[in-house]
Amino acid sequence: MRFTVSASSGRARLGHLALSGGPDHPVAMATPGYLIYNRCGSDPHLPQSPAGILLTPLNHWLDKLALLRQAGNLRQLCRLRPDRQLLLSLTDHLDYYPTPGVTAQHVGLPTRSGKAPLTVELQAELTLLTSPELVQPLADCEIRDGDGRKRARKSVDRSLAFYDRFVTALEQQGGLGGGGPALMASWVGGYSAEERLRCLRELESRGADGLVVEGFRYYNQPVEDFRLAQCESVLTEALQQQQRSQPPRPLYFPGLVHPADIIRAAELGFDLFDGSLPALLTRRGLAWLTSVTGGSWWLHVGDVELLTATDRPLDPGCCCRCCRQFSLSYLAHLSLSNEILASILLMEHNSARLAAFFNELRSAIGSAESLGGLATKYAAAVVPPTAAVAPLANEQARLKDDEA
Amino acid sequence: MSMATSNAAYPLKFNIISKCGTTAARTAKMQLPHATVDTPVFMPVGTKGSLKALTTDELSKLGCRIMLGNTYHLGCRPGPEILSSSGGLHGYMHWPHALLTDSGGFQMVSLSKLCNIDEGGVTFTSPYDGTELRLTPEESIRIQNGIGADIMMQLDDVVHSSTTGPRVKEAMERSIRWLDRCLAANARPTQQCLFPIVQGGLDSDLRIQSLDALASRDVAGFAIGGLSGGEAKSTFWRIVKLCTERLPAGKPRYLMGVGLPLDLVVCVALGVDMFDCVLPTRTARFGVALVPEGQLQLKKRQFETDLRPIDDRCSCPCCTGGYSRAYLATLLKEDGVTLGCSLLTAHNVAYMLNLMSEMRQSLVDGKFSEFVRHFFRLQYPNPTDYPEWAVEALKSVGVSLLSGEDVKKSSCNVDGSGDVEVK
Repeated sequence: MRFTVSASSGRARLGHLALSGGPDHPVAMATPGYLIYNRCGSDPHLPQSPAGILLTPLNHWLDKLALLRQAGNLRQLCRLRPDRQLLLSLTDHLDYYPTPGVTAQHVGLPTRSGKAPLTVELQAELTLLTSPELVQPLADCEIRDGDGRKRARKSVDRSLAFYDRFVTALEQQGGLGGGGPALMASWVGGYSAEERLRCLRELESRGADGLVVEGFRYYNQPVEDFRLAQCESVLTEALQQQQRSQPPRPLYFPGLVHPADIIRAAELGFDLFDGSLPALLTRRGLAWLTSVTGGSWWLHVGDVELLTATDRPLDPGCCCRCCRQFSLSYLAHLSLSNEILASILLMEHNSARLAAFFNELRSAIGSAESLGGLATKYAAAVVPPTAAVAPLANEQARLKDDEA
Repeated sequence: MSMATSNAAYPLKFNIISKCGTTAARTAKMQLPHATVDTPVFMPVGTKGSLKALTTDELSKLGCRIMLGNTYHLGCRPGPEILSSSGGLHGYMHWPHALLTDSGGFQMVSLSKLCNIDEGGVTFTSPYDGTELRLTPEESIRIQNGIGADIMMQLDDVVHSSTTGPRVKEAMERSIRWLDRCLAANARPTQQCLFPIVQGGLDSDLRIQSLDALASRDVAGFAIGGLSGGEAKSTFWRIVKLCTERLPAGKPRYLMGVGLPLDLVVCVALGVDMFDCVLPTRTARFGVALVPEGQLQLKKRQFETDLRPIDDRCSCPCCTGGYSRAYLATLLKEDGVTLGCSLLTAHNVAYMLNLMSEMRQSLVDGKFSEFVRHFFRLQYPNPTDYPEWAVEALKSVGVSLLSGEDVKKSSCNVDGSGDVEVK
């Protein structure tokens, strides 16, 4: 992995992240950028997959170990093209969050079959089976509302110990060195600025290739309820006291879904985000528009009033396939009819919208004034709470709502 | 041997290419306003204007040239006015090839909580908002004209195949009267043709009355209805054969709601040209893959670490893409991930389309009987397991599955070439 910074504006910076992907298939992305949210190698709702870095949470695979070991290679199993590289992370931030169950020996990760323990040794084995370009070593990312400095200290101590043991285990299995993955270390420490700073310094002294912000979102706090403001003061206090590392290391902040928070995090110097917003919006039947319409950034497509919209697409400002080929009426009809195609088309649109947003963000960083203007533009771009929007029907409902 | 063609002024031309000298099977080209379709053909069902996790581009790439839309659902929502203003269902769902719509009659009877039938039409409750609606022959055609499918179905008085007694005769006779009203109501006869539906339940005499009445009407093709409702297979095939023998040879025959691959093979031998069924799309969402040997239930434990493709003989995107059974099973179990469903739907539809393609080719090559025997050997390795009804049905058209020989063996093409050998 190579990460370079080409320009900066305050703490915000434009960068370039390059992965080897083998000699014939280099994978590169501009930063601030986003990882491709996926489950088990597939982008939710999207049969066709773009190139990029796949966010691959281990909690999706812990209940599929027999299959993974049988296949011997996750890339082969999931038929991943060479232009899709992996960041092997710990937990899916969209649907799950660290469940309680961290000890000195393992971290309990949530799976479909219940909690499963992840040890350093198991993670090292899975790292070799998945061939990621980037890996997030085991860490104690758990946080509950009310946890104090003592708990924060323990999370830092455990995470550093896990990190060191993981590096050793990977070296012993021959998985480090020139061809091995880059290590994206978890930056933990709860809401204690002192512990956050300590963790930051310890990880930098260990030569971590990048950092993943963890341990701010409370146990069972819904993803759309987590706002950057909840932790910004602790973050900035720690960042301000630590020199920017040289060479620069990419900073990844998962679990931020609101566009306004992504802009603010970029202003603080963060480079990578999880690309889970399209999946979050799509499962709720929400489309992210290119401009505020009717006072909102979001349009709920499962609205019977939209059936008469035969003369216009979902979003006239968008060039995705959904907006080029189909009317808003058709999308509304599919959504109201619980058709799988509704979520496929909506996901295509929302994915294109996210890509356009990050293009806008990178363009704005060149000019501090424009970045401030961007923040103002998206200040109201806050994803509505879950209860406010009826979701697109899930698969079980679709199976019941079947044709004669 | 005459090769009848349909050349009347309908928006449908049916040109028979080759007939099997042994059975009643034939292959033809059916020209419609939006596509030329090779028959025998299987038509996937896109009930509400979408084929379950497959885009129209993907469906087209599989070779599909005609699919179904459902008038009952589309008529309720979005409705014919919205469809009409969108260029019909073709424009609405961006499907460039041919469409066929049913009349809505079957769903009214099977899905609505209230359904009252009288001579004027059917009164039923909307499945979407519970309001009382009325569907007459004229209204069904109005809706189907708005949808704009190449082929429409008449509104018929539908009774379940298990119904017996005077109701069956009443429904059959009323369907004939409704056919005439449907034909009169068609506002687009040069763009959309109308198929009548043969009824009469499982009663041969009633079926013959229906057949004779319908065959005298000036129509482009015929549908056989009132079957695939769970009736005994031994009765099913006899009714199908009765219909195909009495319908005009030069016009297409469409067997509605059929069916399993086995049903398709037997009914092609009996002289059917067109089929539709939700099987490939519905089974895909339940994790069932169609293969020449039968079905694979991918969600079962035995496939959890099975790294083989569904079928290494299959050329669909799923099998050629190297997706394993185990990985598909994994994807199918993940809520919100559509890749598994898309791949499996593509495979199942490809399987059905390929089955029909192989049958057509075997007819052109004069090897249909051999194809049938090969199909059965794959599905039932042990001949004692051959379904009795299928053995009888095929024997009735000259194919002896058990002895491996035909009663007679001949084939010829439209131009008179080909082997002719009578035993």
